[in-house]
Amino acid sequence: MATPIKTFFCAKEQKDTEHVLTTSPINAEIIATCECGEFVKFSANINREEFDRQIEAYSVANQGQVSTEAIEENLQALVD
Amino acid sequence: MAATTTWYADHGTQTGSPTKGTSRDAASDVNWKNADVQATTYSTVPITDGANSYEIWLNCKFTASTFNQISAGLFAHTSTAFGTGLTLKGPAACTGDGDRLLYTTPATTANSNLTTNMTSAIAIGSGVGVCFGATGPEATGKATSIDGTVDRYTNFLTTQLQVSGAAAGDTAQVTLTLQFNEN
Repeated sequence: MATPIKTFFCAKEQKDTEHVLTTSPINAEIIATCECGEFVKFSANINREEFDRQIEAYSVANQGQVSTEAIEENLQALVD
Repeated sequence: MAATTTWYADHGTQTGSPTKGTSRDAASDVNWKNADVQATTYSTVPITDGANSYEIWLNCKFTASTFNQISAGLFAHTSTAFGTGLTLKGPAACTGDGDRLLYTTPATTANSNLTTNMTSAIAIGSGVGVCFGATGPEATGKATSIDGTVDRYTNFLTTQLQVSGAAAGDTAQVTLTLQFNEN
């Protein structure tokens, strides 16, 4: 079976990225891990409709974050 | 004037309507841990890799008559990065009663109402909106701007640390900031 991948918004990357879906061996919660390394957890045994609803809510809630890391990189780029 | 502020955290089984914690304790320093008792030393109740912390139901009180008005509240993780394998979740922006976070009994299951990813340190200006009201963080009447005629409280500023693939040991000590205007 192919590795399940879901594309949705990454708070760190501030864009849609591919997330690999796995389950926690501790509590069976769904772990969606972005290619950047950040992950988001979802309830165990969530259905597709609720999963999509939570992803949409997550996307809305996290758009517009300006990381301090990005600010520092921009500053450094001004002098490099 | 300068507003006098005090951090609190609700704990225990949800009670009342609107719901709040059984207890509300002053919180000068908080630790995400595998317990919902503020006094418990975090190192005695570590979070198992793959699991999550109990939520911490923070809120901030503004003492009456120490300010004329407060407004434009923002909440964010503003300093120091977490290590690999850690995700900090927090509340969505609050714009009024309709979207304020309602207290639920703290648990270690991933709280789906915490939609903001607070893992990265960000500029406070891009933090989530915070509202203020009377009586307590659970109460209705939340607004983005309010006067100081009585004690005021933020909505619940709840966070949960979620773990997957983290190294054992303490996390970095990070800074969460509540910014507001006052006069």
